[in-house]
Amino acid sequence: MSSRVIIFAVLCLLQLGAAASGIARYERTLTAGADVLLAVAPVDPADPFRGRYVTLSFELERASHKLEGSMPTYDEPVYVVLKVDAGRVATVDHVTSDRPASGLYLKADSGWQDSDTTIHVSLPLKRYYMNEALAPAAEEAYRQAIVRDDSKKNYARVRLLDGRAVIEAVLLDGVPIEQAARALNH
Amino acid sequence: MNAPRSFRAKLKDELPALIQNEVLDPASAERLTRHYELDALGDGSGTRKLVLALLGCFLVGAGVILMFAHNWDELSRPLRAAVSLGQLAIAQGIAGYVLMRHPRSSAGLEGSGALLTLSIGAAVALISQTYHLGGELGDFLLVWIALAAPLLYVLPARIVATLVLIAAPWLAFERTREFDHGFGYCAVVAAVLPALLVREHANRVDGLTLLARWAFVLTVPLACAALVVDRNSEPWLPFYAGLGAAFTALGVLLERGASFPRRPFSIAGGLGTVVLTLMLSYREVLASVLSGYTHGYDKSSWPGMAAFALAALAIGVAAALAPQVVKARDHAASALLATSALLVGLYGLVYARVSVDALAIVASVALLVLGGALLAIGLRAQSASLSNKGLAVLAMLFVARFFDTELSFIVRGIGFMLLGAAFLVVNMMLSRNKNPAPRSVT
Repeated sequence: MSSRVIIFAVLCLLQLGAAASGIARYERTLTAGADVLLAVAPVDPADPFRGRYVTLSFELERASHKLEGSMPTYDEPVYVVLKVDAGRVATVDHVTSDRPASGLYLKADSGWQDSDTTIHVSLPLKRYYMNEALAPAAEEAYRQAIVRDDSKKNYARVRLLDGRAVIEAVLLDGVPIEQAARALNH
Repeated sequence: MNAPRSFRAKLKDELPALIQNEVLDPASAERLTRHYELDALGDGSGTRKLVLALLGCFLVGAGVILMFAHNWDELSRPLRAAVSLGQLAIAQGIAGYVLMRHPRSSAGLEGSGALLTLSIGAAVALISQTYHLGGELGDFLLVWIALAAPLLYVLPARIVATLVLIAAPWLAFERTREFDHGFGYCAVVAAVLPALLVREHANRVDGLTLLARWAFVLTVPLACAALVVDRNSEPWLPFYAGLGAAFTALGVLLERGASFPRRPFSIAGGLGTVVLTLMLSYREVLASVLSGYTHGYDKSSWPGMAAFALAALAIGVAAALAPQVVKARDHAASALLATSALLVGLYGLVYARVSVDALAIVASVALLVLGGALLAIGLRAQSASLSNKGLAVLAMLFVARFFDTELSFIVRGIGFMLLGAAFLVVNMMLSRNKNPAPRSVT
């Protein structure tokens, strides 16, 4: 077997390994991660390669939060430490640039700072991919949900493990967004 | 041997008839075949196979990506993972089979390389979709390119290089969150270029090599803009002047005697130098050269230093190749290199706070001299193409000044008529010299 074929085989293993390790990492987060709800507001664009998705804007990204410990430097990630109520709804306890040793937290990008002690954050969870026929209806379902009663909350059900977050579902007033969109399509 | 490919193909088609009609004897035909390297042309079926293989693989790969983009929510997560890995493994199997069983098949290697590259993109897309990964398009492309680019070194597939080069500039502008600065593209070029150079060294320049060259000359100025322009940074002028000169010099070394579409370096270098000089004949553009400096742009930051390093690299490559251009006695290319050198000098004068009004006039005069020089060189060499290029440069300058000077309409009108007349006269003269009237036989 020529050296070129051996190198090609190694490259193939690397490509498969990269894809498989990604799958394994996210599967582990989904199966073993803590289940929390984060309040969201979806809108619907499309990606030429990955299809239609609902863009998620989180309520916790709109407010500034208490910063504990050292100030993050330019481009440095921060860790958003969460507290969860009885209904699994998560809110921010504080933000820190030092990775917490334990507890519920997720890694995020640091945003602008109002002062030395408060900071805005940007979560890495921005997209919820949906079937191309359902995504426009999902946005409409969301719009109707907030028009009917703006006290009802919409959440992303997120699994958290070691600072990594994977979205499991988006719930419009407790109903999965796919179900709400299908009801609207019918 | 610099004869155009179309001429060689025609000659190859005609040879059997010429021998049959006793216009040429077989020995002469053999000498012509050797001289014009007609055997290297093939019979065209190889190219057809290659085009069909590439088209087929592209359509299959693009179809797979679009099918996945539909987002089949009926499929469970494990099934999606299996599909993602399975289609990648199948494409790897096809490429591996071609590599082991048909390592000399250009169509097989290029086609399976394209299919595998698209399959990697499909796998990354499906995993992103299944787990709702939030990265921007640039992040997605980075993973795709990082996994696909090494294939170049084992599958000698120039189409993979072309795909990677075309996708890479998006990194410069899409990854705004991480402030990529264009370094993603520079890293991709550094990874791809050695493989392309090895392929170029080992083979004749064919359609796919040209495609990769075009991808290179079109994407370098575009992607580097993220570093030298988008950041409002100072060295865009010396960078683009150096890049234009480097491309022109590479054109002289690699593309002498080639037909128009087979001269990406010459075309990009010449056009880039002329457009840059024309831009600098506007005082507003010259005033913006130091805008980064006057607005407190920090040259000591790493993106600032990298932008200057990139400009120095472009100028360095051009300076290193310039002696070979002079040695090749290519006067048109030498005129373009001199113009680029003047543009770098203009940057120094702007820096020295010389009046931008005066420098704008210098740029206009440089364009006038360049156009005149190309016209004169073209006339001397009896080259209609070069003469017309000189006239086109002069016409561009006239049109630019038509809109921003206060000359009377009569003067401008006369200027345009003179230029139009020059076009007609030059082309008639050259046409007459090329086709002299047949002498009468007595």
